[in-house]
Amino acid sequence: MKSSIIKEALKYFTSPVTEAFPATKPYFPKKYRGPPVYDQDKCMGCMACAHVCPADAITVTEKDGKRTLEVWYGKCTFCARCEEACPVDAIHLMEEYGIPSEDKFAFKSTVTHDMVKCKLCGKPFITVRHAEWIRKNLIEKMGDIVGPEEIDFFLTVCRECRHKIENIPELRKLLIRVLVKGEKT
Amino acid sequence: MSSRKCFLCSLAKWARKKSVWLYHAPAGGLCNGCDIEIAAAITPRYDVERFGILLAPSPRHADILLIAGQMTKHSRERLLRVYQQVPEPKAVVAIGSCAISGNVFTTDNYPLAGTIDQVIPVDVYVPGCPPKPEAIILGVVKAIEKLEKRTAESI
Repeated sequence: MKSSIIKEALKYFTSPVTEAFPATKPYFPKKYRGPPVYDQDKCMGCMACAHVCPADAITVTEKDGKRTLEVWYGKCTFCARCEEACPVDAIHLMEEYGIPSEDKFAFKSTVTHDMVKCKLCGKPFITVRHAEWIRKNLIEKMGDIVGPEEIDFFLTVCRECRHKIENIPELRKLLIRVLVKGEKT
Repeated sequence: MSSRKCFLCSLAKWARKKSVWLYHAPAGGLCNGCDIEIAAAITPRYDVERFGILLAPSPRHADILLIAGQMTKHSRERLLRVYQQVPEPKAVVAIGSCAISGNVFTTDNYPLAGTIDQVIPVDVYVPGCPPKPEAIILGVVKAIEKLEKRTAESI
């Protein structure tokens, strides 16, 4: 502790403390939190980041069968909760500072995804990549209880249609199977 | 208007570009994070005084107005008065997420009176919570460009 203070004090005799700012790269400390940016290759559009965002800086718009996620740095707190919540590490805080602009809507990062349409009502409800991710994880963790055909059925039917009377018996059978399995273990 | 070209006019134009004075106006509700970053920008580490940039003690001496924080109902009138006191030509820089959009506090919070650009024309927005001193310096440089244009128009 003491030696670090002395080292810091000795700096003032060696070189000028002033940074030649526009010429040199600015210094970023460890764990610096800059503006968050999406990775289009990794992101699957599950909206976990939008759910945890305390400032509602991440907005979700669904239009023409496509889902768009958008971070607006003008509202962002740089709290890194989106980075914590992301299951696939698709959003990262950059080691950069926000570049000033004359247009306040200029600073943002967007990502777009194709969506799956519901088999029964035809309404888009989930992104293609998110459905793939859920299928992979379900087969890995619950492959012995749920068959791949059942998974495919429930991943192509939207939540509203799943809650309809004619679909409930099947769902109930599945639920009972999962519960029985859970009690045994 | 622009046909008049005297020595004093060109001198004033040069002087305004080479030495810009700032007035820092906190707009009511803010956490002082942006204020501290503005103070950090004038410390020896970044040393904006080598560019002639100074913090003025009064808005009547200033060229550029720095506004940080979101505007409250109480500060709205004072902010307008400060803006009117800055002599023409002038430029306004909004610093931080709060000044741009209200950040986590949103704009329909009961003590707040909307964002700053609804009341005062803002020229440059600096994002960040708080912005780094480098971003503030870049924002002021952008405002100087605008100020130069306005000076050329007014002479």
